[in-house]
Amino acid sequence: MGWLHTWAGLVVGWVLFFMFLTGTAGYFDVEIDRWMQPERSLPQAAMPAERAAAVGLKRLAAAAPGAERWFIGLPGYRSPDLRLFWRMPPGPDGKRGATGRAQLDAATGEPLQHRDTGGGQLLYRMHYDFHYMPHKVANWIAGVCTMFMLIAIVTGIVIHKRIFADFFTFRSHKGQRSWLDAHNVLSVLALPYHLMITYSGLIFFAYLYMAPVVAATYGAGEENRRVYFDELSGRDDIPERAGPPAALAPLGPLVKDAERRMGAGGVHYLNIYNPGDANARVVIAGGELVPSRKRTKLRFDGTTGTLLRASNPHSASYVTWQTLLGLHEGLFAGPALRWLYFLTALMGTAMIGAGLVLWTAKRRAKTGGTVGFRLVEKLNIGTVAGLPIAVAAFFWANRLIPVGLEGRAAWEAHAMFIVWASMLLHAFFRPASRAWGEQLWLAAGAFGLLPLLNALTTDKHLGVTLPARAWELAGFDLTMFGFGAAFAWVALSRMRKNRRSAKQTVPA
Amino acid sequence: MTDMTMEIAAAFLLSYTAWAAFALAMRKHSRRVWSDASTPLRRETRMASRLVGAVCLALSFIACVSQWGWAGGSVAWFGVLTATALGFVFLLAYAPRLAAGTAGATLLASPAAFYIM
Repeated sequence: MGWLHTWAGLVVGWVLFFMFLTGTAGYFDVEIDRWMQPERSLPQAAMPAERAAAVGLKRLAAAAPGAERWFIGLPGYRSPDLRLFWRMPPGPDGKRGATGRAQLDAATGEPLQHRDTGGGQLLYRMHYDFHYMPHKVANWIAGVCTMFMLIAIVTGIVIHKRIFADFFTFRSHKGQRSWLDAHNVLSVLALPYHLMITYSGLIFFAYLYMAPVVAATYGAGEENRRVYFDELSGRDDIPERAGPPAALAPLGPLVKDAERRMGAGGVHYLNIYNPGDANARVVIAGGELVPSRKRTKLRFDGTTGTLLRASNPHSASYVTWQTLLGLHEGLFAGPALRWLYFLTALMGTAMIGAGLVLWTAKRRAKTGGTVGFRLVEKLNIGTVAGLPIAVAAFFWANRLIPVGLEGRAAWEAHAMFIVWASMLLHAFFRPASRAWGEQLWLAAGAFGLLPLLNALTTDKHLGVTLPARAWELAGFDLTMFGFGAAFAWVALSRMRKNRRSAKQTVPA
Repeated sequence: MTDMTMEIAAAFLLSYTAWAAFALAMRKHSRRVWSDASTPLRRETRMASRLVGAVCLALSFIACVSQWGWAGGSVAWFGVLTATALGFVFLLAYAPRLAAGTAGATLLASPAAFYIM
């Protein structure tokens, strides 16, 4: 069992470290988006739901008349902007219609103006699409690695015989012992999170991994798949276009009705099907954010404005499924709970890092010279220290790549992976101990100096954001500084330890 | 969903107190706080300490539920437990006396926080 734990964790450990680190950043995707778009004004109060819906509707009517569906995402918690989306009717060849989208400032209703960037969304998506890969391939790789993670967690629980006796035990400055303690403490204290996030991560793509299960009953192919999902989620069954045009009912009263049921600010989005047609439908969704992702949905006749149906009840299995996904995403979490998510996810990342380092610490004396050992050690340095540097580089690139440059958003991501590759190369060409020290100091600088870089390149720095109490912006700078300090602390205590052991081996 | 309330403070204080009570009932941790030479805690004292820990854990769950509701509160409780345990273990490793001293303070503060929440 110990053997299984060791190797299940090691072979995919570096991929898991990448998935955990970028996934952790994902809990603050919106804040990272904001920071990476410094041209935007400081956060302002959004306009009321009724007016936002009217502004959205006006733009959609101008941009996509005759569409099959209009979508208006209202500004709210975790979605600071007014988001529009439309899909045109299918062409004569049966292909799905063209789509378009727009993002508007929630305070003014004007289109957002900011530099081209992938932002926090790109960073967050990397944890399951690996950026450079076709989605399906990436999701399969992520699934295999997650399965290994689940095996590592379960075997880890079995082989850890002293879970309760060593619950609070961390002995510092004890070499291999300390790495084992760190790995154990980070695993055990956040075990509910590790289990939840790993299992629910598998569930996310269960329909990809187990596609034949659906196909066995519904038949193969995309069309049958859609039938299954429509039945499963009780999707807003929308009638076909009737043909004769009819004016859309005013949205104001509908939004007002919805807000009365869902609470002020509780309306999340509107879907307008067949706008301008006699068979138009307006579906308004919202309600309190809960782990089960349950939403209240109101379906209105789009021409008369009468309420046709409120919400559709779901089966217990559907709710269970949605709850697992909801727990994974944590979209329901307010600021305090969001920080707890971030902290426990960070512990997961650190647990993997400590496990990888432990592998080398345990074997250094016996097999320190072998090729396999060296390979693991280099990959550890280039990933455990190198990948955080690469993430910092992603943020540096956001500030340093000229705003007008063609394809700058893509280059931000390229910069991240180029730096990661450079860190791996650096690890291979330097003695291990030096490489660790250099990369840890580099990480300290790369994170610690980000607030300074921000101050030199934008007008949304701490000197402005702190007095304005723009916490989502100030919080980013302060957190980056905190990471810089943490890396400096690790690098410093490493240096002290090395000096101490050097003194012991060379008597003066 | 309001934030930064007395409920959240109570949940953190109670949970920290609970971990300290459990840990200090163990000889290997208590002797780091009160020196190796001190006499081991009596069995009754250790049991009482664990009881305090269990009660504090339960109360922190109540604080979480009253802040976030049943669904969100259960999730948040695990988060609070993890965060406070990590903080306590860190302090215990690098400043054991401070860890115990903080526990004394949270033990006194948490009933008050729970009462006014």
